[in-house]
Amino acid sequence: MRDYSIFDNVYTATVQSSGAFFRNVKQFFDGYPFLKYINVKAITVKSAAVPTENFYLTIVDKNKNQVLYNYPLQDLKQVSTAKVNNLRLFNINGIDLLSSYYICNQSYGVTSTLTLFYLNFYY
Amino acid sequence: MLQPIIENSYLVEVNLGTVAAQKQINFNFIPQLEGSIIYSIQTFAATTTAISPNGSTVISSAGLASIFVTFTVGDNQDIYLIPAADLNSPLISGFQRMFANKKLNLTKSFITLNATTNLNNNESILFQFIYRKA
Repeated sequence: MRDYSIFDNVYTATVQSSGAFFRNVKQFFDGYPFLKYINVKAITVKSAAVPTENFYLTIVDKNKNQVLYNYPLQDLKQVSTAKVNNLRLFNINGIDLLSSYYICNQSYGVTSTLTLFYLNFYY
Repeated sequence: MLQPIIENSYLVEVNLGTVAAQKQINFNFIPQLEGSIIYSIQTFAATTTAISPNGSTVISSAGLASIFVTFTVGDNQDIYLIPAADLNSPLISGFQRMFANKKLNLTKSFITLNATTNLNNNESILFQFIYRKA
């Protein structure tokens, strides 16, 4: 097995919302040119204004395959309180964030730009 | 390192309906997982996700102790009555249980409610299947 825990790069995507969003409505990511079609080895999340427990992540690759479907965001968080201490390793070839999205299981009436969470991509 | 490198992941929800001791609930047919090679399975409770993508309340972490799971390959019950709590990452030091490349027959796989302790009607348990395409 290749050692996937050696990374060349890390890029943090700041995921923001500038308007209200509603339960179970797909929210698509921005493009993040640095991350276009990269091969992702690991993903972690850092929470911001909104609890990460409320989000599910669907990641699509460049061939339009849904490689991750409704992945609970909290599972990517390395916090001792949730006892999830292991880095989650992936083998995603050619991530397409523009076609990827997240859903929230609650509605929020956002009135100004709000940082929801930070996604750290290791590649 | 005893953890999987995730190629694909699919979240499946099983709603308990009206809870009763010894009740069995089969998994639904999931086209994306048909014929796929599953090498890790994880359950989620309310400590990780309070509400499922379908809007149901997710069972409590304590409720996992009342649920066992049987996974079938073909007609063989390869994984028989594994405790759902043993598949829950926060309860096993953040690990994800790994299995030897199984093509699961999900419609013949089921969960068993061993008791109704810490379970409520219409709660859901979430399963994450980590797989690769055959």
